[in-house]
Amino acid sequence: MSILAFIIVNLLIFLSWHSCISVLRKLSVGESIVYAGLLMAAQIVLTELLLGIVGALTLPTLLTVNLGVSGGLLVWLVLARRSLAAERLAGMGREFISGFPDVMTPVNAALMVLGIFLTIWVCTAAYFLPPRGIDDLVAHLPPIYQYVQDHEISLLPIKLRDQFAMPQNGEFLFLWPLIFFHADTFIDLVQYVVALFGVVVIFALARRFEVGRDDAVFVGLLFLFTPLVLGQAGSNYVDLIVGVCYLTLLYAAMRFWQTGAMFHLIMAGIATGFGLGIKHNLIVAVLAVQPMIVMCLWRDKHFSAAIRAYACYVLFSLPLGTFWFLRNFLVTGYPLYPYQLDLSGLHAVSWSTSINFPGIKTVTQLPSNQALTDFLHSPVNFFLSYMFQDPGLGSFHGGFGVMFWGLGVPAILFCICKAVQAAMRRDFFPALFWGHVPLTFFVYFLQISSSRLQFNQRLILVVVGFGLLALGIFLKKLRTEFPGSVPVIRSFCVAVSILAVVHLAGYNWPSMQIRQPVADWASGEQTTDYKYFAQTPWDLPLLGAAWGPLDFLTQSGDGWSVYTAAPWSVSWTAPVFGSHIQNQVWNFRQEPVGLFQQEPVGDLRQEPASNPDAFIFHRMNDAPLFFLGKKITPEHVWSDGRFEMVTKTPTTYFWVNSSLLRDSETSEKLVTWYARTFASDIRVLESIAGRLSGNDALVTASVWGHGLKYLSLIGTLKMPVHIVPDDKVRSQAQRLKGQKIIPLDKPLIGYESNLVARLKTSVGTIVFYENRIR
Amino acid sequence: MDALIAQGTGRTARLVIPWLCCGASIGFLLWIIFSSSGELHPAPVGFRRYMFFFPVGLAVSGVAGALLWFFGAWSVAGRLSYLSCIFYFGFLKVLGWPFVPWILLIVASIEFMRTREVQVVTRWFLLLLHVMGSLAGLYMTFNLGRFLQPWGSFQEVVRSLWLLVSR
Repeated sequence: MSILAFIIVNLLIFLSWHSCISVLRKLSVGESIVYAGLLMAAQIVLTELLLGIVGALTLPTLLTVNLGVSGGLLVWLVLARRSLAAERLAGMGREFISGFPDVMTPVNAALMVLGIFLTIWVCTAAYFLPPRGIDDLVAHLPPIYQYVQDHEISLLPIKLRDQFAMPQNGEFLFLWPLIFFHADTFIDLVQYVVALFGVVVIFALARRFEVGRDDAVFVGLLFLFTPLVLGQAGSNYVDLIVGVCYLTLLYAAMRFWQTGAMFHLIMAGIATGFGLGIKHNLIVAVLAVQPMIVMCLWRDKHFSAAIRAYACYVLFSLPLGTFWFLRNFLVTGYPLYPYQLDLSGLHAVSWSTSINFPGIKTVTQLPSNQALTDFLHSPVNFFLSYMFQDPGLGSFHGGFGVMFWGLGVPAILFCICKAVQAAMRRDFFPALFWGHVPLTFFVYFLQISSSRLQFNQRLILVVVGFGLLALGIFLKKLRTEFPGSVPVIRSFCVAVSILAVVHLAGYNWPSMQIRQPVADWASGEQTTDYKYFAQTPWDLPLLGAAWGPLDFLTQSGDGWSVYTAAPWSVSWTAPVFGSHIQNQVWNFRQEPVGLFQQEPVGDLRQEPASNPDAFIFHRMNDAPLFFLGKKITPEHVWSDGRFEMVTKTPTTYFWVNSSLLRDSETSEKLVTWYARTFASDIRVLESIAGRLSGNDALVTASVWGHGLKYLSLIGTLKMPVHIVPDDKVRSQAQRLKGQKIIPLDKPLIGYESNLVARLKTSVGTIVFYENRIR
Repeated sequence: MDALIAQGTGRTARLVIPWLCCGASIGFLLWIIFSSSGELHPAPVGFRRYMFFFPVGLAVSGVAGALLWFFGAWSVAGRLSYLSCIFYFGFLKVLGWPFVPWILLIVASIEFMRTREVQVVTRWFLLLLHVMGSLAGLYMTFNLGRFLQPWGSFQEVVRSLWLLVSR
């Protein structure tokens, strides 16, 4: 029901803008969708921003404001422009229906069928799997989770991550479904919707370059099947949003160049503001678009009119573009934090680095322009290697695919050659447009070292759009010069699109594998999405062993306040909030800082009055734990004695206040959690439970402890089971003061020990000792 | 480009393309001959080795091209571009595909025999098409294995979706 309501609300907002701009100007189908999509995103983000600033970011308020705006637009249309709106929309409908048969060629139909399959897959993955992109968990999601809980925008401690101070217009799109469902279930779909929107933007751009409708649809659809777009679409990174916003800005600027109409300049202003508020790298794009706008104003208008028009452009870019820069300037002193631009160039200004690694200076130089140096040193080798290794392929980090490197790059070169020829005839628009491609690569190589290429290709995702657009233009030319080659190229593209979709099944970042979740759903053994961190890389599976039960135990209640500590590089906080944003990160729950209050560098804020309900600790090699807020160690928690260890891996501990676990509902859920997660262990251990009874307690640091604890909770094993840290088995036994203690694998030193059971399993033999105090 | 291809040198343009394609192809062939089968699979290692043989192939095809030019055998030079394409798909054979490379070989050979003269309507477009074909072919040569590797995982995804739909 709530899904249907969400769809209806979105349709209402979209249709209100679509109808409104269709009345204001006669637009083509593609153009109206591009602008209505832009305005819809702008409305959602702006209302969230304003409500977040005044501390009223709640679902009822947000819905009221948005429905009020869109409803108001529709009422105005009905009352004032009903006949014109009906006429324009009917015309658009006729255009769409008449053009539909032209675009439904076998190749386009094949891509659409593939797209439908992909949509079903991505929706299923978004529903069953948790947000799992690494930057999602590190930086993109924790702030918006906090905003949903606090109903206001604040600044999370940049001592932990500089990225908390980055612009967040992109994240505010994730906030939309998040606040609606108060759950993270559908936030992975946002970038996929943006990818679909990108398809329309490329189609619209291609049409403006007089590419046939058939080929325009074709190159637009290919955008969806680019390996990088496929990877990004399932994540909460914002690079896809950046790329599509860049293309939308270019579309508006291009239309302004072609028509000189203020309407398009205003749209460009909105896209500019929206883009500047997503990520810093769009600053370069915005600067690169300015010559197009300024030259058009110079060409078409008197000086004073041009100034007024440009002021109007700037004015429309302000609401969405300035907040984050202003906030950062007031809080940190640097509008572009964590970067600083001065006469000597761009520098990194990292408080996080300076606080956590005191030996490093506060202001550090950005990495040297190694990629550019490498390129200039050996252009052919660099280019061939760059092209054929396709850095980042198979992840959301990169992978432009064969359609870009094989077909798009030659087509771009063709377009650039044509642009140069046009510039010689004093037609500068093609040069201003296609000049974005070399500029994008140049700035990218200037900033990135070669070793980082495989992680950062996503920053220039926009070039994929340029490549496909160029391919569309090239196909248009080929249709007259070598018509026979067009079906070959199009068939090849369909084949590699299928390959790209197959390839998606093997991605680790983000994992799109749905076998286990669907199997659990079919068998009724579901617990929580967080279980499937097990199919992700790095330390996520280990931490998932703590996040999973935390989420499962708290889904239905008011949530717990959770303290978390891990080495700085793996201090990931988003999953601590839980899938329904029900838990509080105790470390963040300190005296709230005002929106524009100075962040205390190096000092901790005042701690909250209440103690944490649960603790998650994670270790990685010998890296020291990073403490945010009060320093609490695993030793402290164990010594306290009020906390019970629920799950444990060799590196991860999850403790919960024992009093919370005594609650009947929580206790039942814990039993269910153990039963569904450690079913195979439990089956093995059941056979031996009877032989262990009659003792006072079982103390273990082994992974078998979870299954034994389950047997104890359901009464099969008639003694309490204590899961403890590796070095605390003996200490726990002493603390219990029992007469007969059973540990696993080795007898307790200082006790009289007897071997009571030996159990052979597929992974080894478990040995149980009975220990009596001498 | 126009300065290089002066009057009557449309033929030369026809020679340049096969020369580059053959260079790449011969380099690829030498790579296959001189590499052990194990070295062909990890692309980066194979790539470095290929980068050694690529200029060798260019040199060899350059000599062949010069001879063809000397004898005015333009059609032969043009036809070579057809043959050159099959080497890009030779990697399929290396990957262990049993039939497809042979089908490609047969099709390319038929096309080679059938084409009497390569019609150069627009040199630029032909050049671009060859560049596209070569780049796309090389890209797939080096990455096809990566694209197909998750075939088993993809089948599991399809089965899971079917399970969802069918329940």
